[in-house]
Amino acid sequence: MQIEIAVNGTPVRADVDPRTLLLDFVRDVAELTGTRNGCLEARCGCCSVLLDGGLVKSCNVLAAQANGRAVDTVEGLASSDATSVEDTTTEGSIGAYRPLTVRGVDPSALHPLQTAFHELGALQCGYCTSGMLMTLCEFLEREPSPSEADVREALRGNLCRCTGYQSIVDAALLAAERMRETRPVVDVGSSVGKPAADSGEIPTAPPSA
Amino acid sequence: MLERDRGEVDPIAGGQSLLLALKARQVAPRRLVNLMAVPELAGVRVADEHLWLGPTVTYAELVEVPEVDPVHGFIARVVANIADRAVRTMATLGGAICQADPAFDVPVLMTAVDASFELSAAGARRRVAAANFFRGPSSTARAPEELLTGIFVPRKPPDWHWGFAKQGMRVHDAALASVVLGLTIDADDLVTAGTVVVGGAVGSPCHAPETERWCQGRALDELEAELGPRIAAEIEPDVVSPRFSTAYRQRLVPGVSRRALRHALESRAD
Repeated sequence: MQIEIAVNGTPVRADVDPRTLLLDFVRDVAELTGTRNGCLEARCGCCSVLLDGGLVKSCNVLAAQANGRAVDTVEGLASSDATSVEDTTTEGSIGAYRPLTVRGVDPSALHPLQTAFHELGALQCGYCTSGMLMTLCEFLEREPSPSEADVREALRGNLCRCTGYQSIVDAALLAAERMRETRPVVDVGSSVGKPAADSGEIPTAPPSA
Repeated sequence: MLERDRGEVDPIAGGQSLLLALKARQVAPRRLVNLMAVPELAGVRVADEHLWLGPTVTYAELVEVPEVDPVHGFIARVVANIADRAVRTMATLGGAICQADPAFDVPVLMTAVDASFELSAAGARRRVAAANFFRGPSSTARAPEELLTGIFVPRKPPDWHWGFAKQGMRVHDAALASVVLGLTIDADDLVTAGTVVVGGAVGSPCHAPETERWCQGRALDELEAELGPRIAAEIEPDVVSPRFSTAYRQRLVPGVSRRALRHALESRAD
């Protein structure tokens, strides 16, 4: 079947088997392999992406369910000005902390979560990281001032077998703090920052009886 | 289409249970029909006596609108704790109702709040109370050619206090045992009426009528001490799984009931 999904803002059109998972569409069709295939049982959260802004586990969604919709993956977090991973990862840097600037990366081009993860070492093997980032990205948009308990609750669907979670939680709180500082102050009297008239409402349908 | 191509076409809403079954090769439908594309099955509508919920309303959507909850925020509180955020984005009320998995929270919740379900087939429409809808694990009153087209939740008096608790193997696992408790309490802290519905341990959600009668006129400390053991003694767990015996599930019920009671009393304090 023919489907088209806007992946990180770029329309990706393909003729796929109807059984294709959104995860496989993102990795194999859109060729964005930052989204990981972990458990395939909607448990580990490695494959988390945003579907029309809502967090989903892409291993448990058919690509056909996302037809005509927008998907955001970890590759879309940083601006296109950020240096690519291939340019920043070298044999010589393995095991050694290097500030982003030494790697030639402009920290301002990264999402605050990515910068915080890097600074606080919120990853070890890195396999869960893209899922963690997408989950926290959606969460911090909804909850700009979370408590530590809120962050832990938000991460209930994401498993990490390396870090013990503490550094991930710390990075989330640090990123939240920085995002609050840079968030534009909204003039209550203006329309800027206000939701559209129908946004946030569940569309109503006539009762069928 | 469901009638014409019986056995070959399955409806899919959020697909959170269906996708797991597909990947495990437990089901093999030849065609899937996407119900999320049907506007008549979406949304919520508030009426004087009830709330009408479209079967494709997701848990995440329901959590966003606690003000329309006819059970005064209780439904939203329970749904907000199902699985994790990513699952709640996709999972729908109608999906959980039709799946009728004893371990799910929605069937026991719908039974406790006296919800009813509209089932539609070509040229026919009927309404079935939740108490008569669930007929065992993955078994419901819905005929293969019928579609769930509406969920009606009656408005509850504000003096009822509701609590829910469950016990699963891990934090986001479905329930091995779950309990919904609804109570009215007078000014002397005596219970005037009670609703008790058990899920998880039993194939379909069931009331504990003897315990419900026993609750009337009891003091809260009596409930704290005796409610759980009474519920456990009254129900007969019949969900058998390789890892968890019916006896184990029964042993979970007293503790789960106590937590549900605490939850109900917390809502009273609110």
